[in-house]
Amino acid sequence: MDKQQEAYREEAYELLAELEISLLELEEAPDDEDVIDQVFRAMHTIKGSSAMFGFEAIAAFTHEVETVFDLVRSGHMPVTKELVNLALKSRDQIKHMLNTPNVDSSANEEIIKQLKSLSSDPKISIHEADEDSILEGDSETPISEMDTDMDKGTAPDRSTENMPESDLDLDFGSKEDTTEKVSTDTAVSVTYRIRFRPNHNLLIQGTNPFQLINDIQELGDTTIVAQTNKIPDLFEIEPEHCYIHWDIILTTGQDLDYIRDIFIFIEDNCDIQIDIIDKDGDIEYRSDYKKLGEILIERKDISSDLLKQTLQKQRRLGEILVESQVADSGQVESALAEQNHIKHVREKRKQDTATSSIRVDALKLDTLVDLVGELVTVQASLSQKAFSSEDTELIGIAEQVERLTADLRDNTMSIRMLPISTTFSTFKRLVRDLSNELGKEVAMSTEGGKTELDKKVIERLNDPMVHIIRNCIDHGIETPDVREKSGKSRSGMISLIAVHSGANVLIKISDDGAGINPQKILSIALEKGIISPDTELSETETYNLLFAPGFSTAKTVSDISGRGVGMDVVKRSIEALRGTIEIESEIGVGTTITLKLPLTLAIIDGLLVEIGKEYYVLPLSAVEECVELTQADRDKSKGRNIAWVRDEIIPYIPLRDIFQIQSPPPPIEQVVIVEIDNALIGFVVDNIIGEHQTVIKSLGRVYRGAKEFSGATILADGSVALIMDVHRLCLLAETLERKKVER
Amino acid sequence: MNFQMDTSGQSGTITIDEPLTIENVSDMKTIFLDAYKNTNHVNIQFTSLTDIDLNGLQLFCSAHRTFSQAKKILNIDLTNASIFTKKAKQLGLIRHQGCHFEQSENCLWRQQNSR
Repeated sequence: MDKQQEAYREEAYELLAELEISLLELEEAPDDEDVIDQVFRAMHTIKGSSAMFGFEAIAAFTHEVETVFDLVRSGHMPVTKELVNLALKSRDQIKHMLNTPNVDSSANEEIIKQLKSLSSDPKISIHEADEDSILEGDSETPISEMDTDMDKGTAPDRSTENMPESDLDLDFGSKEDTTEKVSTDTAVSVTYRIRFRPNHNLLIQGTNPFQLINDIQELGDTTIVAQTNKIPDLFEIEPEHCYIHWDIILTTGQDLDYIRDIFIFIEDNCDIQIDIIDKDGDIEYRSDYKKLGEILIERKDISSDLLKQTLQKQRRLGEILVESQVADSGQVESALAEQNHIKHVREKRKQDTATSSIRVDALKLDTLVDLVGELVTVQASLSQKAFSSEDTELIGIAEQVERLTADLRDNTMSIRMLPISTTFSTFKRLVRDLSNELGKEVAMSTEGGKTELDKKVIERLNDPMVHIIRNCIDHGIETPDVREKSGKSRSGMISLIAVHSGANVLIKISDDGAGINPQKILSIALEKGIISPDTELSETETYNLLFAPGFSTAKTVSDISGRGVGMDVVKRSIEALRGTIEIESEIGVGTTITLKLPLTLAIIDGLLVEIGKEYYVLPLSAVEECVELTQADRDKSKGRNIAWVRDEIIPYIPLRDIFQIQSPPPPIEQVVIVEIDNALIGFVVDNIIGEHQTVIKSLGRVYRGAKEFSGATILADGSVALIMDVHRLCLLAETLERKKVER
Repeated sequence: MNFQMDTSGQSGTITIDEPLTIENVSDMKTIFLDAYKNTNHVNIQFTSLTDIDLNGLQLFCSAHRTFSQAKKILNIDLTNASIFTKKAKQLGLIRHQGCHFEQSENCLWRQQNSR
C-alpha cells in the first residue's frame, strides 16, 4: 500500500470516529441540523476520498448511506432510532471494509436493503431521481454523478453559516474532484464581494436563482444577503418579474474567472460586480475588518461627507443611516454581513495559523522520546562530571544544558499527551449498544475530557475501562422497571470523570445502579475459598476481593461480563501502568471505581535509594514519607517488621531480606513509606540518595521473570538502577511471609 | 388556494394548498388583492406547502409590506410550511432588521418573525 493510501486509511478511521460521535449525538438531538450536516459531511468525505484512492466498494456503499442522509438533510426523512441503528451499522461495515479490503459484499447488500426499505417508506417523499438511486441500489453510478442537485428537490440545506466543504480538513470527495475543478484546500483563500443584480426577466427566462446561489455556495464559505427594497407593493408588482438583488460574500480558493463562469449564461442580462475584499497571504492579519462606513463609501453607497455629518449624531451608525435614509436597511444589513464575514474569516485564519499541525508517525515520536531519555541520562552524567571538576565555566555550561534538556523533555512529553476524550467518545457507543442488548436504559455523561494523558497510557487504558463499563451496565444498573420500583428514574447513568491530581490523573467511573453488597462478596469469597471464615475485613478490603483471581458475583456467565476473569485482569492492567484502582459503593445508590494513573510512562519522578551496593528507584508519586530505622526501633518491635511513626504502627518490608543481600546493614536504615491500596507500607533501604528524573527503560529477556521490577534506568555515572513495582513487591513479601509461617 | 371572509366578518382567511411558484403567482396576487380590499385582518394558513420559489417569496414580501403600510394585518401561520423559511434562508432573505418600508419589528424576514 502506498503512502497516499495509508494516509487515506488513517484519515478515514478518524472520520469514522467522528461519524460515530455525530450519529450518537444525532440520536439525542434528531432535529439538530448542524449534527445532520456533520454526519452528511463525514459520509460525503469518506465517499469522495474512497473513490479517489481506488476504494470503489467503500465509495459505492457509502454513497447509498449518504443518499439517505441527503433526504434527512432536505427534510424529507425524519431521524429515527432505526435510521441511527442502520447508520451505525453502516459505519461499522465501512470500518470492516477498510480493515478487510476483499470483504464479502453480502453484508453490504443486506444493509443497503434495509436502508432501501427505510427510505421507501410511503410516508417519506423522495424525488424520482433520488428514489431511483436508492431503490435500484445503483452501485455502478459513477462518483461524479452521485451528488444531487439543489433544484431536484433534495437540495442540501446549507445555511449561510454552515462550514463549507472546502474548510474541512479532509475533502477529497467534493463534487469538483471528478471534474476539472480542484479542491480549494490548497489554494490561497480569497474573499470576494459579489453584487448580483439580475434582470427583471431572470425568472421568466427560466433561470433558477437557487441553483446559482447553490453553485456559489459550493465554492466556499458564503454570506448571502438578499436586497428586497426594489420589491413594489401589491398593486404594482408583476409577480413573474425578479425584483430582488443579492450581495454575496464568498471566501474561496477559486479564481475570479471561475466565479464568473457561474454567471456565464446570464451575464449579458444582469449586472454582476465582483471585487476582491480580502486575501489570504496578505501580511495584514487584522481580525477586525473595515468599519461599516468605509465599506459603504467604498461601495459608493454613500459619500464620505454624508457619513461625517451623520457620525456627528453619535448614535449607532447603522440606525442613523437607515433613519436618515442615507442608506437602505438592506444595504446596512449587507455591509454588516460583509464585516462579520471577513471578521470570521480572519479570526479563523488566525486560529488556523496558530493551530496548524502536521501528522507524524507515532513510531517517530516514540524514537524522539527515547532519544530525549538518552539525552537526560547523558546530561545527568555531564552535570555530575562538571560539579566534581569544580570548573566554574564547565559548571555554567552544564547548568545551561540541564535547563535546555528539562525544557526539551517537557516539550517532547507534551507532544505525546492526548486528551482522554479520544477514549471517552468510544465508550458512548459501547454504552448504547450494551444497554440495548440488555434491555436497559443507560445514558452516559463525561467530564474532564480535555485532561491529557500519555498516548501509551491511553492506549492501554481502553481494555480495562471497557471491562469496568460493561460491569457497570451488566451488574450495576438495574432494569427500567426495577429502577422505577425503587423510586429511581427509568434511565440509569454512567459518568466518566477525569481530573488531574498532582503527577497523576484520576478517572472516576460511576454508575447510579444497585451498588455492591459487601455481604454478598464475603459469602462468595468464603464459598470459593478466597477467605477463611474467621477473616475480618474492612469495607475497602471487602471490595478489593472483587479483584481476586476467579472471583465473580454473577450467577450466570454472560457474554458481557461475569466470567470471573475480568476484574483481576483489570487490576493487573492498571498496576502495569503504575496506577491504582479503588472501589466505593453504596447499596441502592451506585458504585464508583477510581483509577489513578501516572501522566506518562516514559519519564517519571523517582526516589533513588541504595540497598547493598545497588541502586533502586521507587516511584515518587507513591512515596508518603521517609523515616529512620535504628536498632532501638527494631528492639522495640520485638522482631516484628513494624515501625512506629507518630504512634501509628506501619508494617515494613525489609528489602535486604527479599533481595537476599548477605552484607551487614548500616546501623541506621531508612524506611520509605508508600501508600498501596489505601494502606501505608514501608520499604526498608540502606540509604536514600534523593529525587531522580527516571527515564524508564524496559528490562531485557534475562529479567523477564523479575515481575517485581517494572523497568530500569541509567544513572549519571552510567550504572543501572532497577525500578521497583511496589504492588508486586508487596505481594511477593506476603507470599514469602505466608510460606515462612507455614514452615 | 382561496380567500374567504370569516363568519365574524372582521377578518378573512387565505388558504393555500398548492405549491407557490411562477406558474400560479398571478393567481395568488389576485387573491391577496381581493383580501386587501375586503378586510383589515387576513390570516394565511397552509394546509401544506410542498414548494415555493423566488416569485412566491417575493409576492409574500410585497403583500406583507402593502398590508403593513396600510396598517392592516397579514398574519402568516407557517405551520405546515417549513419549506417557506428554508427557502427564504437559502436565498439570503432572513435578516436581523426589517426594511424601512415596514416598521422593523414587523418585517416578514426578521429572524424572530420567520421561525
